[in-house]
Amino acid sequence: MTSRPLNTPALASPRVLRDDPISAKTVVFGQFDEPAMQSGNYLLTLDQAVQATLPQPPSDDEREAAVLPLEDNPGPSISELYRFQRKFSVLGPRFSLPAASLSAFFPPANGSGDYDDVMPHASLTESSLPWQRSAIDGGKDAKSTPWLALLLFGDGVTAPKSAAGAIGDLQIQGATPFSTPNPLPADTVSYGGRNPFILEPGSSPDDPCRFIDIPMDDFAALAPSPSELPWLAHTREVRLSAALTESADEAPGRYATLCSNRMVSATAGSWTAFVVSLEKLSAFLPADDTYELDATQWKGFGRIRLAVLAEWSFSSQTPKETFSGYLENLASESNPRGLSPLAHAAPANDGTPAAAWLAQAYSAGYCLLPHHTRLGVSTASLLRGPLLPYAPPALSQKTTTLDLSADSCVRLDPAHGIMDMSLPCAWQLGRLSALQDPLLSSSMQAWKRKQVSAAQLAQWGPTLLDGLLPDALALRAQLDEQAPLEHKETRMSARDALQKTVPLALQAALRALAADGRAHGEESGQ
Amino acid sequence: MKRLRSRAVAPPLHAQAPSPSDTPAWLSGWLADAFLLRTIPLDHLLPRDGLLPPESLRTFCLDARWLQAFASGALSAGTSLSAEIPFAQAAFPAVFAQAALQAGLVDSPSGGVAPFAAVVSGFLLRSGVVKGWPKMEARAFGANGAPLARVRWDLLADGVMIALFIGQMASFDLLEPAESLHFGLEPEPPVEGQKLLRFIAGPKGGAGVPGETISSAPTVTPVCRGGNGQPGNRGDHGVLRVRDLAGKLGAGLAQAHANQNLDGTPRLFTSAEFALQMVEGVQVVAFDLTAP
Repeated sequence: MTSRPLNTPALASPRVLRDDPISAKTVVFGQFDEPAMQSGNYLLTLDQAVQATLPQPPSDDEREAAVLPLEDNPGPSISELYRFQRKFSVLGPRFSLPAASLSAFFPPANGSGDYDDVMPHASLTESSLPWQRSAIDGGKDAKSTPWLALLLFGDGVTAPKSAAGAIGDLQIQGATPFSTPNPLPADTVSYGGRNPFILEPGSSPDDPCRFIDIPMDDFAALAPSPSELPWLAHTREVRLSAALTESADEAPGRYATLCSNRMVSATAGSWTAFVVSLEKLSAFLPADDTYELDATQWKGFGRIRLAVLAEWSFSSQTPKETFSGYLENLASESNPRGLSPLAHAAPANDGTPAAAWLAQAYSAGYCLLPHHTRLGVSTASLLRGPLLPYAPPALSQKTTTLDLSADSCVRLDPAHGIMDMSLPCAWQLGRLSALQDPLLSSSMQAWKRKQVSAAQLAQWGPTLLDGLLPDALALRAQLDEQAPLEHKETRMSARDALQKTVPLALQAALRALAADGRAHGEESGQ
Repeated sequence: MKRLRSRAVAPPLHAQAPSPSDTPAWLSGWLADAFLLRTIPLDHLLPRDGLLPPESLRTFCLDARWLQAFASGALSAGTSLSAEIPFAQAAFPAVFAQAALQAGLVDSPSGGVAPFAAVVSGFLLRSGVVKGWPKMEARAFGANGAPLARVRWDLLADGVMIALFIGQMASFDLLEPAESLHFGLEPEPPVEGQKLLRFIAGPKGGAGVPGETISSAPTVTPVCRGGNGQPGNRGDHGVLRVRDLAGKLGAGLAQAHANQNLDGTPRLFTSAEFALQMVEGVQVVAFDLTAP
């Protein structure tokens, strides 16, 4: 029951190609991740043995005499066993896997490429999964021997077609009261061998699963021997550098990896890999070193039916369709347009100065496009995007200024009369992009108005408070004392004066000021 | 009245030049996205067809002047008063610098407002490799071989990747994704079909970097079931004699003193060490832009 501490993991960073702070990713391999308890049914037994010798109750005579020592007078002895039993089960995946348990396959599912001499592998998100059961039924190696194996079919070994069935299909006939759609044929062995396997609580013979029937010869050729199974599974811990954690596509964490014992050959063709359960089937696996099947165990059997927990296919291809094949093709002579700075191919140079000028413009990333100006004139203008084929001079603080309008940043080649419309296009794109974002444009409007109001208030405030406002208030008070109608004109002109002198942006601020400004004004007036 | 009129002319507004940190986050964030070309439509990045033909890679530098015009246009939105223009003018350098800072294009606001002191370079890749290996990695190096900071590495469009680095690229590498870290035999001659031993651990100060191949150690040739043990011989079906191979690798490492504890005693050779030995690194394709 005690869990052995994990073996010291082998530390390695297999991608130390250059000292690279950007994509530093460390992989730590571990021998296994042992679960606290393997999956299965357990019986917990607690025995309490009680042994005691009771003193002989004294007879009436002895009690009267009260002289007999106790030890000389042993009574009846008790030896009783109290047994307490509880059944429990550790549940875990057995004949099927939740989809989330699978992290990655290599070669990728449906991938095609040059996988010559590659041993395919599957990564599982639950790092202890391969060791939650065992291919060996009991014994000292049971804990370190995984129950999952990766079988690779293709190139001379025909892949069996996996069938959808039920757990009952793996059970020898007659062991379950239910009739199943694909009952186990008499010449096919499956889990439990010649005896039915025991269902775990919570599972029923009707539970769906997928299985394959493998001919005996193929199984003998492909299946690992019991002592090879531990070599073919390990844990992998991916650690990312801080720089990568934000955009990491592979989440750091612990994975279990199942590796195939078969290599993909260079022969082009389709391959299928199956993650199968070999739970307690070690007796049916090829023997160590000789790789022969045990004839006694296999007597009467010609095939084996295994539950498929995952399967995927890929195909071997010509080397061009590999990672390096694609990239080397970019710089190959057969692809003259493969690798270059981002510039257009210049139009044919006929030797004229105009053509030479155009070629120069094209090498700077420009292209000449038809341009319909605002005045209705049709011309041709230069255009390029934000990506240049050369390193531009750095912007200095002095030149980092606001372009007031699109037209303000038109550049003109006076010698040829050709306009460069790149910057006006960028300006318009910026404006349209900002307007397209309603939240941004309204926030920007509010921000600018607020900033301008604040600046104006800072500038106008003293003026208002010192002079303008008291003046206005005094005038108002003066007018109010007089008959309003008679002085309508005067009153209007005062309002006009206010409006003319106080920018629109200050209307609100002024109104707000007017409330307490009177008191303020009176103070200033004193 | 007289006094009132005499003050009727508004003095010109001279907005104070704000510091970059005064720029609202929503504005600098929006501009930073544009500076990293995230929100620039593809037909503006590549104004004309043919700039990026299939199976091609194009290097470029970012035009800070273009971004300046873009930012000016963006800031022009929502201007309703003429008084806002001087303010926008005054605020622009700070806004620009703050957005460049937020985009990661400058390290720190050096003196406030001089963005794009360094060149921002990158490349566009349009190739079948993008579809086949969407999680591949990219890294670039400057003229002195120093790694450049990567500010963007994204799928730009179907089958097109974009990379942006701070500084002028002199070379760059494309790497297979780490998930492609796989098991197998050496793919290239002269050791094709064999295994080079990798250093695992040893006493401190000893020679060897964990995970690196030991060039001095003899190679191990795996034997397949039914095979004759020659390199490249696949036997019946290319099924490895795993136990035999593990034994040979373990013995080879012990002989090379490449699997020892810190005190020099031998370490266990388990499936973890076996996995490390069987790993084939990811492929790296290096592009040198300075080569003639």
